[in-house]
Amino acid sequence: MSKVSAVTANTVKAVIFSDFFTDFSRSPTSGMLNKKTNEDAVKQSIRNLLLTDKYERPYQPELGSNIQGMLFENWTPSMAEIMKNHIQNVFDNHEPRAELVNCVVHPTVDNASIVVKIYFRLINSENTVEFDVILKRVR
Amino acid sequence: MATTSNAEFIVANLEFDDIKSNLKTYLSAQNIFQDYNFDGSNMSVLLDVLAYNTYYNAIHLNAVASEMFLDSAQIRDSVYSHAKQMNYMPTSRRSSVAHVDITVTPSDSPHTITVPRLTEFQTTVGDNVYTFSTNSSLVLNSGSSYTASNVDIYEGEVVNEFYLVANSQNTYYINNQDIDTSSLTVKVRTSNTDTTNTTWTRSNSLFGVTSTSNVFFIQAASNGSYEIVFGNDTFGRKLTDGNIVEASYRASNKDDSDGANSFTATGTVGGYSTVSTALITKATGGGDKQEVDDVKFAAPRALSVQERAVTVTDYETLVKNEFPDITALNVYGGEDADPPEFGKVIMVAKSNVYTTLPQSRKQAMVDFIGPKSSIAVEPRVIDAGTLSIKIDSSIIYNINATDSQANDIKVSVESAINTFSSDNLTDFKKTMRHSKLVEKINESDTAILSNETNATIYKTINPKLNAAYTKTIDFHNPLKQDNPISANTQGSYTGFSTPAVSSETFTFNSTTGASFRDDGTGTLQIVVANSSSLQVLEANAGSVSYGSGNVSITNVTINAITTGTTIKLYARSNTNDITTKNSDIVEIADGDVTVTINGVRE
Repeated sequence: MSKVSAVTANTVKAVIFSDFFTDFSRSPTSGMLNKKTNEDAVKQSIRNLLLTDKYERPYQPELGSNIQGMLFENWTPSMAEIMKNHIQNVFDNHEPRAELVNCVVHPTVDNASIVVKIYFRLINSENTVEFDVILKRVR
Repeated sequence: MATTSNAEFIVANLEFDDIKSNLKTYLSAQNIFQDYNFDGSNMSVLLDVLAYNTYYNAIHLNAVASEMFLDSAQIRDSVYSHAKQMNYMPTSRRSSVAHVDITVTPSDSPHTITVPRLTEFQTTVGDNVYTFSTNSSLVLNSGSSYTASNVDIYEGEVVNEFYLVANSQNTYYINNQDIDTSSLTVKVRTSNTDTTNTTWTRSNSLFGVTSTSNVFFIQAASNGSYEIVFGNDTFGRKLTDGNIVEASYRASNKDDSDGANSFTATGTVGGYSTVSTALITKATGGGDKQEVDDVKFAAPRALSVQERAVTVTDYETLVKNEFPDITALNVYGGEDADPPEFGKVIMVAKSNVYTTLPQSRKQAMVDFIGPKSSIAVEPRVIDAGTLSIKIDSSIIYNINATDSQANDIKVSVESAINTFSSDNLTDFKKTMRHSKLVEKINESDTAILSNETNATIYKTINPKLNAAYTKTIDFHNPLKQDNPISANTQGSYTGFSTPAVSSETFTFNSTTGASFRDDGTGTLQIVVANSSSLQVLEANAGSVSYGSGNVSITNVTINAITTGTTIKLYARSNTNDITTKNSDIVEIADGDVTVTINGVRE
């Protein structure tokens, strides 16, 4: 194997998961839809699921997390646990590519919003990926 | 670009999940976007949208295609539209009709008193008050004591609608869906300053309609209502802008007022307030508008009839459509009547509201069908007779095979017999198949081992008391002739003979307990019989024809009837199967079933 090809093989990850961007953005050079791949694609998928309420998608009433609906509940300490359970259920039922490592719920009462910090791991990777989901009332 | 040329794309599925699955299968042939299988991906959201759109369009197209054909249409408006193409108008609500004598008692002595059309009478049924009105004006005169006899009065609030003709419009929507279309009258004024009305008549077809005919048509419209259509100066006179159309009709409460039997005038008649009514026939015949399924059934058949009564089916279709209370109708040529009535068509009608059809109802049927019949054919309506069957069934059941009590078995058997009657009998041209009945009884409970079921036919006669009574009763079935009873053995009568004809008891020549009984040689007698003796009171009270099932009662004077006002005349059929001809409906009434239960352990 040549040196060049060896470097290429070590530095270019294989694309296992691929999806397009939520805003349908296109590559300015090729004009093709931009792609999110691997953990980025999974991250986007989890975000979609967390921001989807049950009965929102046609003919799939069980799909979603219902945590958006919790924004309108009185916030008590137990609410964070309930929200974590909902998030865990999303991973268990709808995202077979990842497992939830941890999630931290931060209510910011002054901003009337909740910051959910998600730590997950792809099933074929040992790296933990972290991202935030901010739930905020729009009215 | 994704490569999908080898992917199979199935388009026949109609379920959401199948459509989405097909899209996934299709996308599996490309490798650009691979997350279509994961619920949260954007690809999955896009597939949901595509699948939903496909599903929505499939449902929409399916509904559109279904509604395009009479067979599959579900929406009332669609069915009405298809029926309209066949020149079939769905039946509207029908008002209850009662028959009364109307008497006005004037304070002076006028020559005549006019009872205007739509004179109103009120009645109460339950907690509700209903309005009845006359359908035509009446003239009472002193010679008839200012009484109109047997007047039809119809239930329903009278509604008047006015339309101003503009923009050459020739179709006008009737706003009240409760209309009884048979009551609709239309008048036209040339303008709002004109006080004279011209009455236009309803036409159901273009036959005889000219460009100057003052006719209107009715057709079904949207929302289950109707609309009035006027001509175009080719068929029927066309309306002119500025004309005023007055439509007058009854808004019926369907059969809610059936049974009303007391009517009070709501106002004065001819200026007199002393108006009384005497009931002839209580209110009956109300009906709801035709169901969608009925329209789908009737419209193609009405098209084949073309408003002409030629075949038996023509008569049945036309009469049943016009008179919704007629549940069974048998039509046959007079040559098949007994005795023959050549040149006539006999219609035997069974109504679900009248036990016996009133003469006015029969005349209405004749008036309706007459113009549609062939020349030289005279329609006639007669009441349906009933050939009743009395069932005696002895049941043996296995006690070890069931937890049910004997009475439970009995109820099951009685229910099975009633169901058998309603499913297989109670109509014309039906035959009671004995073996089928036996099967149904056996199947009514798994514990039943056997049954012995005997059927006796009977007809009811209603003789006038203390007057000579002559009547011919036709059982239509050959009767079972038993051994003749010798006059010499009557004294030692031991009940060995089972007569073909017998009856309930009555009083004859002041002797109670008398009954009809044939002597086995074709003579009908009046006897007093029990298990040990037979006393003949009248040796010749008529005749019995065993072959045809004809029983004639001749000049018999009955003094009293033991129970009730009628006498049941029983006959034993020579065959187990019992059939009818022409005017009779065969039925097993609820009270004619006797079930005996015996349990054994097997």
